[in-house]
Amino acid sequence: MYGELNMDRKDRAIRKFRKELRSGVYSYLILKFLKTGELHGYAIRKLLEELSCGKFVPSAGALYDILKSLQKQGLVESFWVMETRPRKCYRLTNLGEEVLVEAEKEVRLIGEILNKLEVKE
Amino acid sequence: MIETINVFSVELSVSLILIFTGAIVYAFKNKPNPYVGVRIGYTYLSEEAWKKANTFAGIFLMLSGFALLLLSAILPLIVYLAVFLSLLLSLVVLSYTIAKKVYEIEDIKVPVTNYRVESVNYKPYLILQLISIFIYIIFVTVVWDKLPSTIAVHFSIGGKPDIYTNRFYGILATLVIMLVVPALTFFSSKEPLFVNCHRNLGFLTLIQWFVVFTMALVLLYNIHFVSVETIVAVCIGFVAFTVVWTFWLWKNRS
Repeated sequence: MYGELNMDRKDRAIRKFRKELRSGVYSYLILKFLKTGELHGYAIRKLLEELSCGKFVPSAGALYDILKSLQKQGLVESFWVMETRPRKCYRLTNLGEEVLVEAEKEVRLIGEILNKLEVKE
Repeated sequence: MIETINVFSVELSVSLILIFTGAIVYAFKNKPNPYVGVRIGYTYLSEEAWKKANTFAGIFLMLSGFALLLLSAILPLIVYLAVFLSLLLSLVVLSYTIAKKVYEIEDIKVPVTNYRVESVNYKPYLILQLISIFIYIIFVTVVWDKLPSTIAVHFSIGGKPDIYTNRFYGILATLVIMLVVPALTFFSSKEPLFVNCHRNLGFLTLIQWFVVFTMALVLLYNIHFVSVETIVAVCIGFVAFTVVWTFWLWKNRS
């Protein structure tokens, strides 16, 4: 009983930790993808799938939330395109491009720190 | 006493109508149809969006009906109406938000094959519409001194003025009405699935110019420059034109 409870807590903690770690990286990767050109939400998930062999892909609902928040911050803008029905595509804004430059520096810094840590270990 | 009973019966029937409408919307929550329910672009195109938006709308309407039923006993009519209108507005905004979200999440799941960018440049239309308002404002400044302090702003079908108002507020209200078409134009370019008129921006612009022209005629009527018959003739002419145009669009629909 206690073990089960503990597992539950562990699962919850892992899920929370994963969510927190991933959400920033997802945002960063989305900006990175959009730098090469406008993309549909489905294509963004596909790119993440290919990049991570399916291990690092947000659910459609989670991706929707991330894209919404990026739009709110003014980093990304959306527009409709026509297929058999209207589909929503996204592109990087000027502000998004500027923020991406800073984010790239930040990611590089994190990478360096993690590398140093690995060498020490 | 009689008045109190009348007010109460109005409030009672409005509440019951809401509950009834809610029940019907809820009953059709799994059956997309062109008659009953939240019918916007998103719910037409996605069954899931239809289900979620209509489940919400049905429950919201029924609960609003019950709440208003209870409130009708204590609230004066004016407050009752304010609550009623805010509930209706919330219903529209929330159902729209739900339908849009469900549609967009579904959209992310469906593979994209081959799309074309439908770039509707709404700016020239919007500018043309705003120019009409600008011209109207210049016209108002020219005729302002000649206008009586109370002006006729509305006419009965028979051509008799039936609503008069202070000239300042009358013109202010007119300007607000003139912003409706530009707002629709702007919004339809952002949300083609809510205001589906991005293909008819030319027609919208024409309506705008007609509205502004008619409003200018009304001012000219108030300074005895044109007769009310002229205004009626212009309106009938425009309605006839709209009917012919709509028929033409319908005949040539793809």
